[in-house]
Amino acid sequence: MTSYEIHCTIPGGGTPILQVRCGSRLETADVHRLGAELKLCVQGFSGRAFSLLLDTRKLRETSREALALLKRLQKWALNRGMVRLAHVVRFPAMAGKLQESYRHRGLTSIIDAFTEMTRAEQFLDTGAWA
Amino acid sequence: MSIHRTGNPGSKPPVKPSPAGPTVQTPQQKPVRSEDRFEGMTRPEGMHRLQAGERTGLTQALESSSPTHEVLNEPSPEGFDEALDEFNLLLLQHLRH
Repeated sequence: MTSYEIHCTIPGGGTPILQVRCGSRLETADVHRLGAELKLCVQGFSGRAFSLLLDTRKLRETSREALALLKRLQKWALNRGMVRLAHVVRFPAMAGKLQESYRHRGLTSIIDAFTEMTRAEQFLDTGAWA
Repeated sequence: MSIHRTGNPGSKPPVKPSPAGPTVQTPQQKPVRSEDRFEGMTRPEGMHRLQAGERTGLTQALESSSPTHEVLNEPSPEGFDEALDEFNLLLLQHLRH
């Protein structure tokens, strides 16, 4: 797998989900490229609401700078129609900490953390998960 | 002087068998398939074979339009910024362990 993959799915709820799956290594140049591709996708939505899924389960190596750019992208997306954001991580302990953090900040209607794709997709599609 | 013909009228004269010699075989032509379909042709000016991971003017132009280059001073819900910071921090921590 290359540094990342982007897929767009439209589930039952009708809100498109942009799935960004990180590869094992993500560098700053990759995030710049990812941003350019993401921008094209979002422009294609023409202002329509969409959800973003960031899957980092395969990520093994990255840098503080790359993640700072990734944060920038997520903030950019939020102001371009992103209604929900799901972080899919490898470690349940990390997902637990993130869920607690997002809940503590009152953000769980727009951002949540998962270890499983199905739950993440359910959240992005309907805004809730069982 | 008379010409004496043998055989039926209209019949073809016997064909002198050709001496058996080695048959000339044309070399078998195998289609040459090029990776970039320019094998044996004049490569159009300005075109060259791209190497994996090679950056072109197009990719550079595309990347330069990335939102990561934009100056962001946009509002976000309270705590969103900090939540993303925490995500980055935890991710780095877990990758190091």
